[in-house]
Amino acid sequence: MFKKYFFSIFLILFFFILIYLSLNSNFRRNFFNLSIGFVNSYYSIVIQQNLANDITVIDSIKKVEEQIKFTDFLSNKSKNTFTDDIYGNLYLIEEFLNSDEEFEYFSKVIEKIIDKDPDIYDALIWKAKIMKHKNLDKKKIFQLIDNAIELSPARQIAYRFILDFSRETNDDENFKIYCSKYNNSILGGYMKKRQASLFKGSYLTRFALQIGNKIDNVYIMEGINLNQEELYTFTLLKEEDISKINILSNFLPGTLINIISIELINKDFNKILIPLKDIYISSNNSFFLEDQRIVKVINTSFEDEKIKIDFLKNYKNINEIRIKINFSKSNLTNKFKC
Amino acid sequence: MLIKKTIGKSLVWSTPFIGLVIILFFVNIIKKDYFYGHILLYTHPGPHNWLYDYTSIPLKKFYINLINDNKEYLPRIKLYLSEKKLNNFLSDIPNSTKKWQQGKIIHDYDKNTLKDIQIRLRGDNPKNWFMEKQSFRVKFKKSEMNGRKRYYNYQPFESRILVANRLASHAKILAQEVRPVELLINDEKKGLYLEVEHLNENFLRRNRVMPVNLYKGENWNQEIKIALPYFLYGNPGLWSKQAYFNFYDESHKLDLKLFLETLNKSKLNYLNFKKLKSYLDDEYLGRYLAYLVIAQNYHSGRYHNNRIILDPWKGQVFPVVTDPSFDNNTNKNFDYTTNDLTSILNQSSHFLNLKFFYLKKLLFQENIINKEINYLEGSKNNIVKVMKKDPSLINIFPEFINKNKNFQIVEKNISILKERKKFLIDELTKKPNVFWFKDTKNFSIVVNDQLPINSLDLIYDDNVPDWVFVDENLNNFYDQNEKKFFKQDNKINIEASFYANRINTNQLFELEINNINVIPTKFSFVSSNGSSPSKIRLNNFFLNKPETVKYLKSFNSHVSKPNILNEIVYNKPRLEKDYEVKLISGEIVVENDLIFEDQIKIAPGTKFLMNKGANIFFKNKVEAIGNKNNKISFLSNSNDPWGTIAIIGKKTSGSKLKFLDIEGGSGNVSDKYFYTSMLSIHNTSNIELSNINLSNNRKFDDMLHIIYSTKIYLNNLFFHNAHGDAIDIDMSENIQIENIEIYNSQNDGIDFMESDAVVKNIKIYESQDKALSIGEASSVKIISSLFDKNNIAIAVKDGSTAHMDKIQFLENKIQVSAYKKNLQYNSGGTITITKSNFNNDKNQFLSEKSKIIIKESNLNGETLKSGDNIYVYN
Repeated sequence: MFKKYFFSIFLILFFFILIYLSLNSNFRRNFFNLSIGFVNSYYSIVIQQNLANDITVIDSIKKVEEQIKFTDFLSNKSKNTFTDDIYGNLYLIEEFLNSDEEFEYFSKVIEKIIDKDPDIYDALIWKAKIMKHKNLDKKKIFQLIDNAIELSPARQIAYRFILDFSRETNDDENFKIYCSKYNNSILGGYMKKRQASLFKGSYLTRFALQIGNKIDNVYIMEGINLNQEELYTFTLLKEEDISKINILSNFLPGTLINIISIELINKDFNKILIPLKDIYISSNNSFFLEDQRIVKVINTSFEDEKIKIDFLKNYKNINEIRIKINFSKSNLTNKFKC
Repeated sequence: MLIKKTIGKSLVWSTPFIGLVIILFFVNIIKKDYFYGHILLYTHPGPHNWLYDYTSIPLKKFYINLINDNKEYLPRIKLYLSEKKLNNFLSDIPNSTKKWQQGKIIHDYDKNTLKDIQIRLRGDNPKNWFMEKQSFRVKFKKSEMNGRKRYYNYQPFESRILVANRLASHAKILAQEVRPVELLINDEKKGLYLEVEHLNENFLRRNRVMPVNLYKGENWNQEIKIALPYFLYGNPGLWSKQAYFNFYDESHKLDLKLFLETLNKSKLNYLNFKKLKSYLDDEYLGRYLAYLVIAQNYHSGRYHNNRIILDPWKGQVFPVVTDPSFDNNTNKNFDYTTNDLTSILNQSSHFLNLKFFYLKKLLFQENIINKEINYLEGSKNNIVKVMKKDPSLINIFPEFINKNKNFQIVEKNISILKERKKFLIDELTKKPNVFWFKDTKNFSIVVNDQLPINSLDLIYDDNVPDWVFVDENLNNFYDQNEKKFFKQDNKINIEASFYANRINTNQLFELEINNINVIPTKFSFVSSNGSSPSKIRLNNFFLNKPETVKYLKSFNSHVSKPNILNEIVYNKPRLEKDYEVKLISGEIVVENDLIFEDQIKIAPGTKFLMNKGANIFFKNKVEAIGNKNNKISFLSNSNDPWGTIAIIGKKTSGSKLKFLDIEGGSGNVSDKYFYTSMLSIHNTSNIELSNINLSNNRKFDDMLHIIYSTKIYLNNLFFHNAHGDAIDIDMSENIQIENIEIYNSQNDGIDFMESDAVVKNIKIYESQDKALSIGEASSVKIISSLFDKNNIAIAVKDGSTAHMDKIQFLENKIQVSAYKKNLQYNSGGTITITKSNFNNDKNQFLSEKSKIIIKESNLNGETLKSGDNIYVYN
């Protein structure tokens, strides 16, 4: 009896859910979004737990393989809605690779993800690393790195690898070329998934000036120059009494911000040169290098940065702020300008 | 009883099947929606009511078939492909959407012919694939193109695409050609579509642009690059190519990289901004910025909908309109900007001035809004009639019950255009918010408006100063770079344009969005005697008459001084020295590149000794006039070839080179420019070259290359031993060539591509390929000339025509050849020869899909004809 009613109830429920899903497009949309999120979260959590609990890296790689198979079944074999989560999991695993066997397993998965999307910066570098590990064709390794650099010229990972590789293969010419490329590249960047950033990613082509803690009217600077002093001028919307300013940015790690001078221009167009030694500067994430004349700040993370400049006194009726900065990149090696 | 029993039994038996059908029906909806909205990377179109589509659309189709209106109101495009192939499009998305399937078409270009085509879906948004009206791309066979078009896109009608693209064309901005059509698939009416031109190399050629890089910026939906910031103008890696410059590998992007680096540094100082300016054609960008305001097309954002041409022959960048928007409302902020390029331009007084100049031109003189209104008025009835045959656009219920808003779309767009025109005129003709006040040593005006001030009249009651200058650096002293304006009776007219500063600010949580604001900006004036005017009047492009500037006795509010991008735009050349011409003479060893931005005169007898790879670039007018006994020479200073002498850019118009010797050069390649010749004439007009000897170029093809130029006069030029072509002329008009002798070119004597010319009294000997090559839609007239011992005397091809009169064809292997080579031009060549002599043992004539007509001419020797349409009338 119970079985008979159970079956009927199940059937009715099934019909009801089916019809409701078909009729209610919003509910359907949310249902699928949550389901996909569940799948992504499951694999992400399992892999992170495996890595944290010293379970073999190969198991984690196998988990990613399983993730690829399963998600291909759910969607398609090419780039799909699960691809960036797969990439994210590989990103976590890559740091833990050690043995030949692990590299071997990892290389198979890398091939699969590159098949899906040949334009994943990190995947190209991982492949180059694996090829190096296997002592494969030098030209192809350089080609992979060049492809990665084309995708994101300013990001340092590709250069780190290729500089080491050039050194190991006694290729001085390429060593110099990549040093120079790295030091002079301003384009490209990096963006973590679900990265909370005011700038929507880390890159060198934009920063901003905030007056005090005001949320409105933050002044945007579209572009920087590398390796030379530039006067970054911010004309204010209205006169302000200023005691504090913040330089907001999300530069790539390793970016050196050399603050050479700060000038304020008041409503009478008189310049007020702020003595750097008499002000207080701190930051959220960056570090300061000792220098008697200028303020040297080195960015070390992919997080939004706020360099807080406190003039320690109030300057009235300011129209314009000029900051002379020399942006450059920290060395990747101990070699001069590299 | 029996009937009841029967019905009951059949219900019992059929219920499972009915249930199955219902289940499958709903499962299909769920599955479709899953694939529509969830499987593509970063692609999440909004929820869609599929049930409505599945129920209402069949009813509407039934209704349309019932009405059976087969009249042709718009051009009709009929596509045919099997149901299986239609289903294949969605078999494995997204890859299957890009796979070409065989099909057939009857296109209104050729209504009587059923042509073979390939067809696929287009677009990366699943809306283009899953809806009742899909979006297609069609490819004709190369041998069966429609004129010069091989590809077409068919997408569901959207008025914004029609109107905004057409406005761009009216504004002379590069945009896709669009027209409304009626589409049928397998004779089933699909309704109102747009036929949209495809962006590729052919698009460039049709718009008289060389085959160069056409970059596509789409970092959106499926095309997003994982783990990279979205912003196109910050990364060349986010761009792909829809056409490419075939001197380089398709993957080569150094030109884009250099441009983006220049753009990203352009705001920092004036020199950097000048570099950016060199990339931009003033007229084109002025029109483009004005067009964006008129169309309210802000769809080209920081991360998608961007197309730009990087043309290395001009060293310039040209944005192309694609997938435009056409907002219902008109933004009062004329500086509103949605991408990084327009953001920088809308902060520069130079480009703001161009924008307003062209706003006036487009609104009042070229009347582009009226043109579009007229077009829509003329087309709206036909468009509505086709809408009534469109299953996606008609109502189920009759009009009187439920008015169909779709049928009002065109009328609505007409209203929007009318309102927009009125709004723009009202806003632009307002008196700008400007006032002036006196200081102790000078007087100042403050501009606090987005509108321009294009001239000022300073009116004095007494004590008129001799001159007044704009104190650009606010030091109260006259500096050499500042410009004086002199009195005329009791007035001083300041012929200059002044703009308020534009700055980019936004809320803390919207820092990735550019937001341009106007701030009050002060311009100070100093007079020769310290006096101030009694009245100031301003004028601009839009005011009917000058307006008096309000005077304030005292002023204490916030004001800024002009920032880096806000230079004063002088209506006439800025300084006396702009009229000064630099003189060069003597013997000059050119070790590195010489770049002349100012006007230059080169004295007779000047000798340039060019080191390996050295170049000379003239970017302003140059007069290099030697004489018979004292020529100006450009010679190698080593055994290695030097680069190029280039005359490039519109400022070089009017240049003259006479009595020159040029030897031992080659060409030059950089990330911005490309020169394939020893002497290069690029993107200019009114150039005269005469009495010049050119010899022994190396490495690169051409001795003389003329490209994107008009009114070029070549007289008395002598070419010896060209490495490739002696003269190469591309995309140029009004070329006059007289008294030329060319000896021993390794390729062609003169090569024409998409150009028109008149050629008189030329002699070409021993060209390894053709003496004259006239190709790719060129039109050339040749008179009184001689061709001897060339491989081919003349070849005419690919939609070109040649008229030859009084020509001596001597011992050339082939006298005349006409054929179809480049399939993009869809036809061969036509050549007419009159009153000429052919003198050879064998006079060969070749014609393939072309025409050769010879009249009133002597043929001495055997005549050999190969091919069709060779006519000899004597």
